Amino acid sequence: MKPAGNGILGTYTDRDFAAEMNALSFVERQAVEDDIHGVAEDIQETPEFIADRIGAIRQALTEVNSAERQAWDRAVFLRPALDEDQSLYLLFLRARQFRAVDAAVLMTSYFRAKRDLWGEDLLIHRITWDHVCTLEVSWLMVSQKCSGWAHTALVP
Amino acid sequence: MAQFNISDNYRAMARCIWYVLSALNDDPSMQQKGIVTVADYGGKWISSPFQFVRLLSTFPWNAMPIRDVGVHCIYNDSSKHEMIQVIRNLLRKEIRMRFRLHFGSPVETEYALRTFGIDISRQLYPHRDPVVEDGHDDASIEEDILRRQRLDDEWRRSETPYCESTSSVARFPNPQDIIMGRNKTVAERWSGNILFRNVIQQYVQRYIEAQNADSFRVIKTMISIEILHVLKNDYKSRFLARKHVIWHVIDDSEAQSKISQALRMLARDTR
Repeated sequence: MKPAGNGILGTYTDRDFAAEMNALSFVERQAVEDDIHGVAEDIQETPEFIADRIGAIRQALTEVNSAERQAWDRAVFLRPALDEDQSLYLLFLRARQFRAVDAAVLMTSYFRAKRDLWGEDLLIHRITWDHVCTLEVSWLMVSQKCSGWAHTALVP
Repeated sequence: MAQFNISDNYRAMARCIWYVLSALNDDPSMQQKGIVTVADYGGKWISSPFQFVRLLSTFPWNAMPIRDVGVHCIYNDSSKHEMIQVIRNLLRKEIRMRFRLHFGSPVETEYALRTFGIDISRQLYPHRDPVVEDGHDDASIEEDILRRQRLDDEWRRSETPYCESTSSVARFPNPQDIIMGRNKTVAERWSGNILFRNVIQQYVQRYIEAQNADSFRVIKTMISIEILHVLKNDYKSRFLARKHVIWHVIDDSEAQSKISQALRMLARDTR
Protein backbone atom coordinates (compact mmCIF):
# COMPACT_ATOMS: atom_id res chain seq x y z
CA MET A 1 0.00 0.00 0.00
CA LYS A 2 1.14 3.54 -0.72
CA PRO A 3 2.53 5.14 2.46
CA ALA A 4 0.38 7.89 3.91
CA GLY A 5 1.37 11.51 3.54
CA ASN A 6 4.38 12.99 1.83
CA GLY A 7 7.38 12.10 3.95
CA ILE A 8 7.65 12.42 7.71
CA LEU A 9 6.50 16.04 7.77
CA GLY A 10 4.17 15.76 4.81
CA THR A 11 0.51 16.51 5.15
CA TYR A 12 -1.92 13.70 5.61
CA THR A 13 -4.94 14.21 3.45
CA ASP A 14 -8.44 12.88 3.84
CA ARG A 15 -7.71 10.71 0.81
CA ASP A 16 -4.82 9.08 2.68
CA PHE A 17 -7.12 8.49 5.60
CA ALA A 18 -9.79 6.92 3.40
CA ALA A 19 -7.19 4.71 1.71
CA GLU A 20 -5.89 3.49 5.06
CA MET A 21 -9.37 2.84 6.40
CA ASN A 22 -10.32 0.92 3.28
CA ALA A 23 -7.23 -1.23 3.59
CA LEU A 24 -8.40 -2.48 7.00
CA SER A 25 -10.35 -5.68 7.35
CA PHE A 26 -13.96 -5.52 8.53
CA VAL A 27 -12.97 -6.61 12.04
CA GLU A 28 -10.17 -4.04 12.27
CA ARG A 29 -12.42 -1.26 11.03
CA GLN A 30 -15.10 -2.23 13.52
CA ALA A 31 -12.50 -2.18 16.31
CA VAL A 32 -11.53 1.36 15.33
CA GLU A 33 -15.17 2.48 15.35
CA ASP A 34 -15.84 0.79 18.69
CA ASP A 35 -12.81 2.47 20.22
CA ILE A 36 -13.61 5.91 18.94
CA HIS A 37 -17.20 5.67 20.20
CA GLY A 38 -16.13 4.23 23.55
CA VAL A 39 -18.05 0.97 23.16
CA ALA A 40 -15.13 -1.45 22.77
CA GLU A 41 -15.33 -4.46 25.04
CA ASP A 42 -12.68 -4.71 27.73
CA ILE A 43 -10.23 -7.59 27.45
CA GLN A 44 -10.85 -10.03 30.29
CA GLU A 45 -7.61 -10.13 32.24
CA THR A 46 -7.77 -13.51 33.95
CA PRO A 47 -4.63 -14.68 35.82
CA GLU A 48 -4.08 -17.45 33.24
CA PHE A 49 -4.39 -15.02 30.35
CA ILE A 50 -1.99 -12.56 31.96
CA ALA A 51 0.55 -15.29 32.73
CA ASP A 52 0.35 -16.52 29.15
CA ARG A 53 0.81 -13.03 27.68
CA ILE A 54 3.69 -12.19 30.00
CA GLY A 55 5.41 -15.40 28.90
CA ALA A 56 4.82 -14.39 25.30
CA ILE A 57 6.22 -10.86 25.69
CA ARG A 58 9.31 -12.16 27.47
CA GLN A 59 9.85 -14.57 24.60
CA ALA A 60 9.23 -11.78 22.07
CA LEU A 61 11.78 -9.58 23.84
CA THR A 62 14.50 -12.15 23.28
CA GLU A 63 13.72 -12.06 19.58
CA VAL A 64 14.03 -8.29 19.23
CA ASN A 65 17.19 -7.14 17.46
CA SER A 66 19.96 -6.74 20.05
CA ALA A 67 20.77 -3.19 18.91
CA GLU A 68 17.14 -2.19 19.45
CA ARG A 69 17.11 -3.94 22.81
CA GLN A 70 20.26 -2.29 24.14
CA ALA A 71 18.55 0.19 26.45
CA TRP A 72 16.22 -2.46 27.85
CA ASP A 73 19.15 -4.84 28.47
CA ARG A 74 20.98 -2.04 30.20
CA ALA A 75 17.97 -1.30 32.38
CA VAL A 76 17.67 -4.96 33.39
CA PHE A 77 21.38 -5.13 34.13
CA LEU A 78 21.16 -2.10 36.42
CA ARG A 79 17.90 -3.12 38.02
CA PRO A 80 17.50 -6.90 37.78
CA ALA A 81 14.05 -6.82 39.40
CA LEU A 82 12.67 -5.16 36.24
CA ASP A 83 12.81 -8.50 34.48
CA GLU A 84 10.35 -9.92 37.02
CA ASP A 85 8.12 -6.87 37.26
CA GLN A 86 4.69 -8.03 36.08
CA SER A 87 3.15 -4.57 36.29
CA LEU A 88 5.74 -3.25 33.87
CA TYR A 89 5.00 -5.96 31.30
CA LEU A 90 1.28 -5.38 31.80
CA LEU A 91 1.67 -1.67 31.09
CA PHE A 92 3.10 -2.39 27.65
CA LEU A 93 0.78 -5.29 26.92
CA ARG A 94 -2.27 -3.18 27.69
CA ALA A 95 -0.99 -0.40 25.47
CA ARG A 96 -0.91 -2.85 22.55
CA GLN A 97 -3.99 -4.82 23.50
CA PHE A 98 -1.96 -7.84 24.58
CA ARG A 99 -0.21 -8.35 21.23
CA ALA A 100 3.09 -9.64 22.63
CA VAL A 101 5.37 -8.85 19.69
CA ASP A 102 4.09 -5.27 19.35
CA ALA A 103 4.34 -4.79 23.11
CA ALA A 104 7.96 -6.04 23.10
CA VAL A 105 8.88 -3.59 20.36
CA LEU A 106 7.12 -0.80 22.24
CA MET A 107 8.98 -1.70 25.41
CA THR A 108 12.40 -1.51 23.78
CA SER A 109 11.48 1.78 22.05
CA TYR A 110 10.26 3.20 25.34
CA PHE A 111 13.51 2.48 27.18
CA ARG A 112 15.56 3.82 24.29
CA ALA A 113 13.54 7.03 24.25
CA LYS A 114 13.74 7.33 28.04
CA ARG A 115 17.52 7.00 27.95
CA ASP A 116 17.75 9.62 25.19
CA LEU A 117 15.49 12.08 26.96
CA TRP A 118 16.29 11.61 30.66
CA GLY A 119 19.77 10.12 30.57
CA GLU A 120 21.12 6.83 31.77
CA ASP A 121 20.93 7.68 35.47
CA LEU A 122 17.14 7.92 35.30
CA LEU A 123 16.66 4.98 32.95
CA ILE A 124 15.56 2.71 35.79
CA HIS A 125 13.83 5.32 37.92
CA ARG A 126 10.30 6.51 38.16
CA ILE A 127 10.15 10.05 36.80
CA THR A 128 8.93 12.15 39.69
CA TRP A 129 8.13 15.82 40.14
CA ASP A 130 11.67 16.30 41.53
CA HIS A 131 13.12 15.39 38.15
CA VAL A 132 11.09 18.04 36.39
CA CYS A 133 13.10 21.27 36.43
CA THR A 134 11.85 24.85 36.49
CA LEU A 135 11.93 25.24 32.72
CA GLU A 136 9.71 22.19 32.32
CA VAL A 137 7.29 23.37 34.98
CA SER A 138 6.97 26.70 33.18
CA TRP A 139 6.06 24.81 29.99
CA LEU A 140 3.45 22.89 31.91
CA MET A 141 1.89 26.11 33.20
CA VAL A 142 2.02 27.80 29.78
CA SER A 143 0.36 24.84 28.09
CA GLN A 144 -2.54 25.05 30.53
CA LYS A 145 -3.10 28.73 29.94
CA CYS A 146 -2.64 28.95 26.18
CA SER A 147 -3.72 27.04 23.18
CA GLY A 148 -3.08 23.34 23.13
CA TRP A 149 -5.25 22.75 26.17
CA ALA A 150 -5.93 19.07 26.33
CA HIS A 151 -8.36 17.19 28.49
CA THR A 152 -8.00 13.48 29.01
CA ALA A 153 -10.73 11.28 30.33
CA LEU A 154 -11.58 7.64 30.77
CA VAL A 155 -13.67 6.16 28.05
CA PRO A 156 -17.20 5.64 29.42
CA MET B 1 14.19 7.09 16.02
CA ALA B 2 14.24 10.67 17.20
CA GLN B 3 17.47 11.73 18.84
CA PHE B 4 17.14 14.60 21.26
CA ASN B 5 19.92 16.77 19.88
CA ILE B 6 17.66 19.73 20.25
CA SER B 7 17.75 22.90 22.26
CA ASP B 8 17.08 22.85 26.00
CA ASN B 9 13.71 24.42 25.42
CA TYR B 10 12.51 21.59 23.23
CA ARG B 11 13.97 19.04 25.60
CA ALA B 12 12.14 20.69 28.49
CA MET B 13 8.84 20.59 26.68
CA ALA B 14 9.41 16.97 25.65
CA ARG B 15 10.17 16.08 29.28
CA CYS B 16 7.08 17.93 30.36
CA ILE B 17 4.92 15.88 27.94
CA TRP B 18 6.67 12.69 29.13
CA TYR B 19 5.90 13.52 32.75
CA VAL B 20 2.22 14.18 32.04
CA LEU B 21 1.81 10.98 30.02
CA SER B 22 3.58 8.95 32.70
CA ALA B 23 1.30 10.45 35.32
CA LEU B 24 -1.73 9.29 33.33
CA ASN B 25 -0.35 5.77 33.27
CA ASP B 26 -0.22 5.50 37.05
CA ASP B 27 -3.85 4.52 37.03
CA PRO B 28 -4.38 0.85 36.01
CA SER B 29 -7.91 1.56 34.79
CA MET B 30 -6.43 4.19 32.48
CA GLN B 31 -4.05 1.54 31.13
CA GLN B 32 -6.91 -0.88 30.53
CA LYS B 33 -9.51 1.45 29.08
CA GLY B 34 -7.13 3.76 27.25
CA ILE B 35 -7.31 7.49 26.93
CA VAL B 36 -9.28 9.87 24.78
CA THR B 37 -7.42 13.05 23.98
CA VAL B 38 -9.23 16.20 23.03
CA ALA B 39 -6.77 18.73 21.67
CA ASP B 40 -8.01 22.28 21.26
CA TYR B 41 -6.19 24.25 18.58
CA GLY B 42 -8.64 27.09 18.87
CA GLY B 43 -6.51 29.62 20.72
CA LYS B 44 -3.29 31.41 19.95
CA TRP B 45 -0.12 29.46 19.25
CA ILE B 46 2.33 29.40 22.14
CA SER B 47 5.19 29.65 19.69
CA SER B 48 5.24 29.59 15.92
CA PRO B 49 3.37 26.69 14.32
CA PHE B 50 6.67 25.57 12.78
CA GLN B 51 8.29 25.29 16.21
CA PHE B 52 5.26 23.46 17.55
CA VAL B 53 5.40 20.87 14.78
CA ARG B 54 9.15 20.55 15.22
CA LEU B 55 8.62 19.70 18.85
CA LEU B 56 5.90 17.19 18.06
CA SER B 57 8.10 15.53 15.46
CA THR B 58 10.94 15.08 17.96
CA PHE B 59 8.83 13.66 20.76
CA PRO B 60 8.75 9.84 20.72
CA TRP B 61 4.95 9.51 20.64
CA ASN B 62 5.14 6.00 19.30
CA ALA B 63 7.31 4.85 22.20
CA MET B 64 4.83 5.83 24.92
CA PRO B 65 2.98 2.90 26.52
CA ILE B 66 -0.43 4.43 26.15
CA ARG B 67 -3.52 2.97 24.62
CA ASP B 68 -5.02 5.72 22.51
CA VAL B 69 -8.62 4.94 21.87
CA GLY B 70 -9.39 8.29 20.34
CA VAL B 71 -7.84 11.61 19.48
CA HIS B 72 -10.18 14.48 18.78
CA CYS B 73 -8.78 17.67 17.41
CA ILE B 74 -10.94 20.78 17.46
CA TYR B 75 -10.17 24.05 15.71
CA ASN B 76 -11.96 27.06 14.32
CA ASP B 77 -9.43 28.53 11.92
CA SER B 78 -9.17 26.87 8.51
CA SER B 79 -5.58 28.06 8.11
CA LYS B 80 -4.63 25.53 10.80
CA HIS B 81 -6.05 22.62 8.86
CA GLU B 82 -2.86 21.80 7.03
CA MET B 83 -0.76 22.08 10.18
CA ILE B 84 -3.05 19.64 11.95
CA GLN B 85 -2.79 17.23 9.03
CA VAL B 86 1.00 17.41 9.36
CA ILE B 87 0.69 16.53 13.05
CA ARG B 88 -1.63 13.66 12.16
CA ASN B 89 0.95 12.28 9.78
CA LEU B 90 3.47 12.01 12.62
CA LEU B 91 1.36 9.50 14.48
CA ARG B 92 1.44 5.78 14.00
CA LYS B 93 -1.23 4.18 11.89
CA GLU B 94 -3.36 2.91 14.77
CA ILE B 95 -3.71 6.42 16.19
CA ARG B 96 -4.22 8.01 12.76
CA MET B 97 -7.23 5.71 12.32
CA ARG B 98 -8.65 7.00 15.59
CA PHE B 99 -7.93 10.64 14.86
CA ARG B 100 -10.97 12.83 14.22
CA LEU B 101 -11.02 16.47 13.20
CA HIS B 102 -13.80 18.81 14.31
CA PHE B 103 -13.96 22.20 12.69
CA GLY B 104 -16.26 24.95 13.93
CA SER B 105 -17.22 27.25 16.76
CA PRO B 106 -16.94 26.10 20.39
CA VAL B 107 -20.64 25.19 20.49
CA GLU B 108 -20.43 23.24 17.23
CA THR B 109 -17.37 21.30 18.28
CA GLU B 110 -18.86 20.62 21.69
CA TYR B 111 -21.90 19.04 20.07
CA ALA B 112 -19.73 17.15 17.59
CA LEU B 113 -17.86 15.61 20.50
CA ARG B 114 -21.12 14.67 22.20
CA THR B 115 -21.85 12.36 19.28
CA PHE B 116 -18.79 10.42 20.43
CA GLY B 117 -20.07 10.32 24.00
CA ILE B 118 -17.67 12.99 25.20
CA ASP B 119 -19.07 15.84 27.24
CA ILE B 120 -16.45 18.48 27.71
CA SER B 121 -18.69 21.46 28.24
CA ARG B 122 -17.04 22.21 31.59
CA GLN B 123 -13.45 21.50 30.66
CA LEU B 124 -13.34 23.13 27.27
CA TYR B 125 -11.98 26.62 26.82
CA PRO B 126 -11.20 27.47 30.44
CA HIS B 127 -8.84 30.19 29.23
CA ARG B 128 -11.60 31.89 27.24
CA ASP B 129 -14.20 31.68 29.97
CA PRO B 130 -12.48 32.39 33.27
CA VAL B 131 -15.72 32.14 35.27
CA VAL B 132 -15.77 28.65 36.68
CA GLU B 133 -19.00 27.95 38.57
CA ASP B 134 -17.68 26.21 41.66
CA GLY B 135 -13.95 25.93 41.11
CA HIS B 136 -14.39 22.24 40.27
CA ASP B 137 -11.68 22.27 37.60
CA ASP B 138 -9.01 23.75 39.83
CA ALA B 139 -9.85 21.27 42.56
CA SER B 140 -9.62 18.26 40.25
CA ILE B 141 -6.26 19.41 38.87
CA GLU B 142 -4.98 19.88 42.42
CA GLU B 143 -6.29 16.46 43.38
CA ASP B 144 -4.45 14.89 40.41
CA ILE B 145 -1.22 16.59 41.43
CA LEU B 146 -1.62 15.41 45.05
CA ARG B 147 -2.35 11.84 43.94
CA ARG B 148 0.76 11.84 41.79
CA GLN B 149 2.85 13.27 44.64
CA ARG B 150 1.53 10.58 47.00
CA LEU B 151 2.62 7.87 44.56
CA ASP B 152 6.02 9.54 44.17
CA ASP B 153 6.43 9.59 47.96
CA GLU B 154 5.43 5.92 48.26
CA TRP B 155 7.94 5.02 45.58
CA ARG B 156 10.67 7.05 47.28
CA ARG B 157 9.94 5.43 50.66
CA SER B 158 10.18 1.95 49.17
CA GLU B 159 13.46 2.72 47.39
CA THR B 160 15.29 4.77 50.03
CA PRO B 161 16.47 1.89 52.26
CA TYR B 162 18.28 0.40 49.27
CA CYS B 163 19.82 3.66 48.14
CA GLU B 164 21.51 4.63 51.38
CA SER B 165 25.26 4.31 51.55
CA THR B 166 24.95 2.08 54.65
CA SER B 167 22.74 -0.58 53.08
CA SER B 168 24.28 -3.94 52.25
CA VAL B 169 22.08 -4.72 49.26
CA ALA B 170 20.82 -2.47 46.48
CA ARG B 171 18.01 -2.73 43.98
CA PHE B 172 20.03 -0.66 41.53
CA PRO B 173 23.27 1.33 41.59
CA ASN B 174 23.13 5.00 42.51
CA PRO B 175 24.94 7.28 40.05
CA GLN B 176 27.93 7.55 42.42
CA ASP B 177 28.18 3.79 43.09
CA ILE B 178 31.03 1.81 41.59
CA ILE B 179 30.13 -1.27 39.60
CA MET B 180 32.47 -4.22 39.82
CA GLY B 181 32.90 -6.72 37.03
CA ARG B 182 34.63 -7.17 33.77
CA ASN B 183 31.83 -5.82 31.61
CA LYS B 184 33.73 -3.01 29.92
CA THR B 185 30.75 -1.30 28.35
CA VAL B 186 29.22 -0.91 31.79
CA ALA B 187 32.37 -0.12 33.71
CA GLU B 188 33.63 2.52 31.33
CA ARG B 189 30.41 4.44 30.94
CA TRP B 190 28.88 4.30 34.41
CA SER B 191 29.13 7.66 36.20
CA GLY B 192 30.33 6.05 39.46
CA ASN B 193 33.14 4.25 37.65
CA ILE B 194 34.18 7.49 35.95
CA LEU B 195 34.26 9.13 39.38
CA PHE B 196 36.34 6.20 40.69
CA ARG B 197 38.88 6.60 37.89
CA ASN B 198 39.13 10.35 38.51
CA VAL B 199 39.77 9.83 42.22
CA ILE B 200 42.42 7.17 41.49
CA GLN B 201 44.03 9.59 39.06
CA GLN B 202 44.50 12.13 41.86
CA TYR B 203 46.51 9.63 43.93
CA VAL B 204 48.52 7.87 41.25
CA GLN B 205 51.43 10.33 41.35
CA ARG B 206 51.84 9.76 45.08
CA TYR B 207 51.74 6.03 44.46
CA ILE B 208 54.47 6.22 41.79
CA GLU B 209 56.71 8.39 43.96
CA ALA B 210 56.40 5.95 46.84
CA GLN B 211 57.37 2.93 44.78
CA ASN B 212 61.09 3.29 45.50
CA ALA B 213 60.61 3.85 49.21
CA ASP B 214 61.40 1.10 51.72
CA SER B 215 57.98 1.36 53.27
CA PHE B 216 56.16 1.10 49.94
CA ARG B 217 53.91 -1.71 51.18
CA VAL B 218 52.69 0.38 54.07
CA ILE B 219 52.29 3.53 51.96
CA LYS B 220 50.28 1.84 49.23
CA THR B 221 47.95 0.31 51.80
CA MET B 222 47.49 3.74 53.37
CA ILE B 223 46.75 5.29 49.97
CA SER B 224 44.10 2.70 49.19
CA ILE B 225 42.53 3.14 52.63
CA GLU B 226 42.45 6.90 52.08
CA ILE B 227 40.81 6.51 48.64
CA LEU B 228 38.25 4.15 50.10
CA HIS B 229 37.52 6.66 52.85
CA VAL B 230 37.13 9.51 50.36
CA LEU B 231 34.80 7.50 48.13
CA LYS B 232 32.66 6.24 50.97
CA ASN B 233 32.42 9.42 53.02
CA ASP B 234 32.79 12.31 50.60
CA TYR B 235 30.98 10.82 47.61
CA LYS B 236 28.79 8.27 49.43
CA SER B 237 29.85 5.65 46.91
CA ARG B 238 29.36 1.93 47.35
CA PHE B 239 31.22 -0.88 45.59
CA LEU B 240 28.57 -3.09 44.06
CA ALA B 241 28.79 -6.56 42.63
CA ARG B 242 25.85 -8.22 40.94
CA LYS B 243 25.09 -11.71 42.18
CA HIS B 244 22.14 -13.27 40.38
CA VAL B 245 19.42 -10.65 40.56
CA ILE B 246 20.64 -8.56 43.49
CA TRP B 247 23.36 -6.00 43.82
CA HIS B 248 25.54 -6.70 46.88
CA VAL B 249 27.75 -4.16 48.55
CA ILE B 250 31.20 -5.72 48.74
CA ASP B 251 33.18 -5.46 51.97
CA ASP B 252 35.96 -2.98 52.62
CA SER B 253 38.86 -5.42 52.24
CA GLU B 254 37.63 -6.49 48.81
CA ALA B 255 37.02 -2.87 47.81
CA GLN B 256 40.52 -1.99 49.00
CA SER B 257 42.05 -4.71 46.84
CA LYS B 258 40.09 -3.34 43.85
CA ILE B 259 41.49 0.12 44.56
CA SER B 260 45.05 -1.27 44.82
CA GLN B 261 44.59 -3.06 41.53
CA ALA B 262 43.32 0.11 39.84
CA LEU B 263 46.24 2.10 41.27
CA ARG B 264 48.73 -0.50 40.08
CA MET B 265 47.32 -0.54 36.57
CA LEU B 266 47.12 3.22 36.26
CA ALA B 267 50.67 3.64 37.61
CA ARG B 268 51.90 1.16 35.02
CA ASP B 269 50.14 3.04 32.22
CA THR B 270 51.38 6.40 33.48
CA ARG B 271 55.03 5.44 33.60
